[in-house]
Amino acid sequence: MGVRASPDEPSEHGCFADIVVRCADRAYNFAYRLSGNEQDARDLVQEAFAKAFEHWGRYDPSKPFEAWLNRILHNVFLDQVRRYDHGHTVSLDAPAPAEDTEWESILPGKDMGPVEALLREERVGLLQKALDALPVHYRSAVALCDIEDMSYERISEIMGCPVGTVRSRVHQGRLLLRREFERLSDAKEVS
Amino acid sequence: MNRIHEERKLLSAFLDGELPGDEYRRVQAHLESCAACREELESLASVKRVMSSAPRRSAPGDLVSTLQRRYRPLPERPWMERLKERLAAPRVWVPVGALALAALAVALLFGSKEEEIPLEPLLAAHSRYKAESWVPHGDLLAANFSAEVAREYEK
Repeated sequence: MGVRASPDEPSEHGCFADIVVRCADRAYNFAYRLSGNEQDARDLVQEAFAKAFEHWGRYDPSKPFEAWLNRILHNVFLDQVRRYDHGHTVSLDAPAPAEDTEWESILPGKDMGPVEALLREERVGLLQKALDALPVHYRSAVALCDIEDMSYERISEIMGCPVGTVRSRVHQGRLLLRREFERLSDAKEVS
Repeated sequence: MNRIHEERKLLSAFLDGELPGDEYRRVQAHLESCAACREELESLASVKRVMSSAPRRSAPGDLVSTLQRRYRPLPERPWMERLKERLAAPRVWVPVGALALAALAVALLFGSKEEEIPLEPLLAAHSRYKAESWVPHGDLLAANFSAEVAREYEK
């Protein structure tokens, strides 16, 4: 870990206020996808920046600041999930098949064409609903991979787990999402 | 566990370009011969497309400005203001003053004595002055003094 200036002093990353401006949008987007609502996303972002500022000495400048910030944000979110049983949040302990479960056999795929068309029409609400229904670890993995477009290695740093676990969570997260999409699509047809 | 499921587990990583070369080639070869896995791959790609097309949420403007204000460095104050503050701070000058007094006391107690000035040349100078001076001897204290010194010296 290299030597860093204090977050108030200019460095290769700029002063902390500049970092906030540069990273706020991505941090907020990730926070929103995790929490599913604006108020919780705001709180998550504020607390993540506060912790980053407080623990600036632990930041390794050889790595991207955003990955470190997202890791803090993710941990803050996990802490909140553990502490409170939010109505809109699926608990960490929500039923989730074991890593070696044959998910493909219990979540058979079907033609996603009509589902995809529906989601494109009403993507804002339905997509977030489907994401909210996922157990937290799968939600994080899919959000970081598909929405934030991060590599498995970067996701493993943020989630604090091996790359193999990320691979498994991304895959299973997509299978669960597909099931949710189909369920929402069916519900839409009925109504 | 059959071979189809083995490859299926790797389809998301295949889709994301996250498989090492040998595994990637194995899945690729399998896909050429397995219609079910090709369909599964397309289905997973649809999920990825839907997620990737999710509109991005920008941080609300008031949140960004609040955070900016919170972490903006304090502006630097004029030098006069900083100097006044330093001078006014007693915690700096009290120990400095005490240290200076202590140093002075040590110097007075243990400092070396001045060398004595040789008296002979001084008396000689006074004698010459007395002899050459046009000033009446009795009028000036210095002259009287010199005469006294000279007398003492001649004894």
